[in-house]
Order: sequence, then structure tokens, then C-alpha cells
Amino acid sequence: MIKITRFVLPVAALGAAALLLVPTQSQGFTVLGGNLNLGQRDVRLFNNFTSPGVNANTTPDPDLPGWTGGFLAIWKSGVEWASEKHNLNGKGDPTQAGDLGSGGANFDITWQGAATSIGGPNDNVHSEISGCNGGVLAYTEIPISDGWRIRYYQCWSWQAPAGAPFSGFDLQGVATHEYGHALGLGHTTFGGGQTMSAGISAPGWQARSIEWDDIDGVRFIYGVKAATKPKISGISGSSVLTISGTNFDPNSNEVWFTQKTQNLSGNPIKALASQSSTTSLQVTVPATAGPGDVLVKKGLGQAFSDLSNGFGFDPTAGPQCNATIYCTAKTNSQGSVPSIGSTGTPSVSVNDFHLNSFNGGIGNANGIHFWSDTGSATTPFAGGILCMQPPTVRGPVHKYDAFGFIDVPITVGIFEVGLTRWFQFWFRDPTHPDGTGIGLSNAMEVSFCN
Amino acid sequence: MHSKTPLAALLAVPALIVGAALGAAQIERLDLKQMVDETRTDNAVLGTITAKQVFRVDHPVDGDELYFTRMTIQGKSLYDGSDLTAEVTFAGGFVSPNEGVHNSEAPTADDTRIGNTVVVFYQWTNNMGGDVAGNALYAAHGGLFRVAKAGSDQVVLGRGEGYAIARNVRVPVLRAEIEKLR
Repeated sequence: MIKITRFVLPVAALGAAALLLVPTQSQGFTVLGGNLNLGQRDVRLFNNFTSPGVNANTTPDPDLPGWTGGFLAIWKSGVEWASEKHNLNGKGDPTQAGDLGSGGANFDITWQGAATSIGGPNDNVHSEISGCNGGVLAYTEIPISDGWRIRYYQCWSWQAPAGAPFSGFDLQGVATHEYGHALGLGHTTFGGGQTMSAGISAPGWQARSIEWDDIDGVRFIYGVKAATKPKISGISGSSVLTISGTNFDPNSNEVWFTQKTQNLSGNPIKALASQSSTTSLQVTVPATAGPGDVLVKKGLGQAFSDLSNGFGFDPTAGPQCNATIYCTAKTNSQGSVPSIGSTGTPSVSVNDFHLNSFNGGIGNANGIHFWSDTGSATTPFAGGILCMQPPTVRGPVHKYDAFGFIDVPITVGIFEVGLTRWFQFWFRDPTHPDGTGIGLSNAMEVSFCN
Repeated sequence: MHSKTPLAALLAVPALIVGAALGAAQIERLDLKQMVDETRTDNAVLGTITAKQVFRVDHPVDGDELYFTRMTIQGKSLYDGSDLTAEVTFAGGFVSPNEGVHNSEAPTADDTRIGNTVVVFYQWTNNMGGDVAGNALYAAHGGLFRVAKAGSDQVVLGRGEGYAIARNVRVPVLRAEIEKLR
């Protein structure tokens, strides 16, 4: 039973207050007077759609692993409101290349896959409803702080291709609009061009991408993404995940996974990190976790800004490839900062991975790359920072070219699959004013995969 | 972005603004020509809301807790000028103060108050969800327009770009436009 009338008036008053407080450049969006707390960020689909177009897309997307058709469309519709570009590359939607995840607010969803039923009006499930209701495509039931339910009328021809549909109505576009209601936005007072515009013309895929007024709206409700908000920048491993990023709690972090099977509730699968620092944590993947997104929540935190962005992860896919730059380089004798980089993929099957050092090596100097399989560190060393834990292993001597650039092919062997390795460059810098004669790059954490 | 303005002062903000925010959703974008097309609407009534009732449906396929509001509007048809009493239904509403749902596309409570003069476009629908049959309010909030007195004239209040009646229009002018389009 939904009991919301008792707060309709306060909600209305607060909504009015919100409208009055909107900055001058944001006069378009309206708010419903509520928000989704961290316990209401789950999104599921009960896939009772009858339009064949909803499930015609059977090609999974590597950045949103494990789901296709209507599931993928609904997942992406929530991800578009996220705080960061999804997987930091924003890939996964051909209609907005590299731009999936545009909210920039303290707001992220946790994709929880398939629901077992339509659920009640506060169970956070998308589903079809039979029949038709005039020119209404879909609607959201909005108790807001208690959750939501989104329904799509069966009489429309729903489509869910990866790219833009040519006919019917685009499920992802309409879902992006409806989820805007679920998170607390009303219709914008601008006539068109925004995802939260009231009306939509077929096929409506343009609504997949939220626009400036929608972005102002979600930022107004949840706050502009805080500088302290945790951010996942990479994931490696399979049964034990290493999650790298920033702003994690130094002592305690909770990792949220997508549930593997249909579940009566939308609650994410949660596991405590076994090892935490502000930039890296390790967690054992629960057996009940399935393909979807991983999020990190700071310990006991309940603020909107305590939950990270989502990052795609498929525990059934085996070890993940990843290469993430970290640590700080030592400025060389010429005032340049030697940077580590890479090309290719750290994969045994592709085997095209190269490390390089550019912009700060010393021309024609000798140097080495060295590594550790133990972990990252920030230990003072030779006037710079040793970015890994001992023991370290050194590679062969290489000669930098005249411009201070070096490229080192890294052969990936079968026994390295699933391994995480930390790399750094060392080179001779005989005229360095600190007298050490040593240059040090920043570092790279590399996870090898099949 | 948060203010320390006293809440009491903010409570004085006209509820109309908030009502507009609560009545939200995704509807087909229409102009008047499309709205009065016989494939979309059966009729439009200009009249007074004389009754309003909310009912709940628990449906084995469409799910539990489906709420619908049925309004009675007494007036005249804008399509043929005849006397007309129409029952028009839309999704959402409350059967009691503690039981019901807000629907993002429903017209606001203020717009559907008994005694309001309105223009309502509707279409007979055999199933508007939960096997509920009736005259569906076409495009939900986009099918209901308030009517205000302006001197001796009645003016239909437009809802803006993308709605069938975008700008305020006098009733005789609207009637003439509809006649021309049909």
C-alpha cells in the first residue's frame, strides 16, 4: 500500500521552494519534491514486452556486459543519468558515442537485471502494461522516496536496437525520460529538445541523451558531483577483484554487484572489501554476483556522495584486461615530467601490449622498466617515488631515443592471465641537480587477461 | 544551491506551480490538427467537472494497485455543438488519503477539481490497462485544458509548445478552428 498523501503537501511546498531557487540559467526543469536515497538506486526490468523489436538486439556490448535487448536498453537509460561517463569511456550507445553517463551529479544507479514480476508501485521495476491510453506512451508512478514503477503501454511498437530505430518508439529514449521522473524531475517548461520535455515525436531516440536542462535538474536534486565522491577508474581480476580509483574510504568499503539471477527484490549483492586504501581495494566476488555494474560505497556512508560511479563487470568472463596509470613521476634535470603510457591490450590472445615512456626521458640515456607483482606503494626513493611494493624485478636495459622516448613490447604469457603487475621506468639522468643521477616515471597497474 | 529562506515563506508559493510539476510524463507530441483527427479522438467536451471518482484494480496480468480516476464533465461537444455529458478516465489517483499513486502523466488535482470548467479530448478505449474500458483522456494531462473567464469571454488556457492547444485561445475561435480541421 502506498501511503504518500501525508507528504504530498510538504513535498509540494518543497517543490515550490526548489522551483524558486533554481539558478537563472536553469529555469526549464521542474522537480517533484523528492529524491531516491541510496537504498532506492536499483533498476530492474520485468520483460513482458510483446513488441518483437524490444528483444531483437542479441549482441551484447562489452562495456555493459551480459545483457541484450530490452534489458540493455533499460540499463543504459539509467546509466545516462550517472555521475561519470560509464566505464570512464562513455561507450555503449551508438547514438551518443563516448557520452553515456552525463549527469555529473551525486547520483548513480545499480543495475539489478531481471525482475520476477511487475511488482508494486515502489519496487523500482520497468514493465509493459496491456492496452492503450490515448496518446500516452508510458508513465511513472512516483512515490519518489519510497521508490517507483514505470509502465509502457502495449499498443505502441517498442524498439530497442543498439543504435537509433527507424520506426516505432525507442524504448531507451522513453525510458530515459521516465527514469528522470523516478529520480525526481518533472517536465521541463521548455517546449522541446530536452529529455524531460513532456511530448515526444516518434521514434524519439534523441531522448536517450540528457541535455543541459536535464543535467541542471539532476544536479539540483542530488548536488553537483562532490570532489570527495568515490570514483572507480579500473577493475581487474576475476574471483578476487582489484578495484582502482579515487576517494575510497581508507579503511572500509562496500562493493555492490548486480545479482546473478532473477530476484524478488532489487537489492544489490554486497560484499565488504578485504583490503582498502583511498585508491585501491580488493574484494572477493560473491557467488551470487552476475554480469552488470560494480559500485563502491564508502563504509557506513549514507550521503548521496558516498556511492561511486558504476563500472561494467562480468564475473563469468574470466580475468579482465586493464591498464591504469597511477603515482607521481620525478621531474627530470631538464624540467620535464617523464610519463608512462601504453598501447595495445594486455591480453595473451592479442599480444600487442607495449609500455612506453615519453615526455621526460633523457635523450639517448639508458634505462629499464621494472615491476612488482605484490602491489602499489608510494615509497620515497632516489629523490622521487618508488610506486610499487618489493620485491621488484628489473627488465633489460633499453636506450631512450634522441627525444627521450622509449617503447617496450610486453609479451603476455598464459601464466600471467589473471595476474596484476605494477610497472615503472627508471633511467639515467646524470645532471639531475639532486645528485642521484636517476630519473623515475610514474607507474602503471596492468591486469592480464586471455 | 540550498537556501536558508524560511520555509514558511516558501509555503506561500502558489500550489499551481507545484501542481504543474507533479503532472508530468511522456506523451505523444501533438498539434490541434492531430488531436482532432478521428483516428485519435472521438470527441471533445467543453464543460464543467461535476463528479470525480478514483477506483483501484488488482489485475492478474497487469499487476496490483492500478489506480484510475474517472471524471464526469457536463457541457457541449466542441465537435458538433450538441449537449454532452462525458465520463473520461485517466490513470492515477487516490481512493483514500493513504491509498493511491501519483502518475507522472496525469493531470493535476487542481486541474481536475469538481466545478472547474475545462476542455477535454477523449477516445473510447477497450483496455487502458487492467482491462479497464472507457473514454480515455487523450494524452493524459495533454488532453485537458483549463478554461478561464476573461470579461464576457471564455478563454481556453494553452499548455505550451507540443500540446494540442499551445496558446490561450477564446472558445469561439477554438470552436471555429476545430470545425475547420474536422
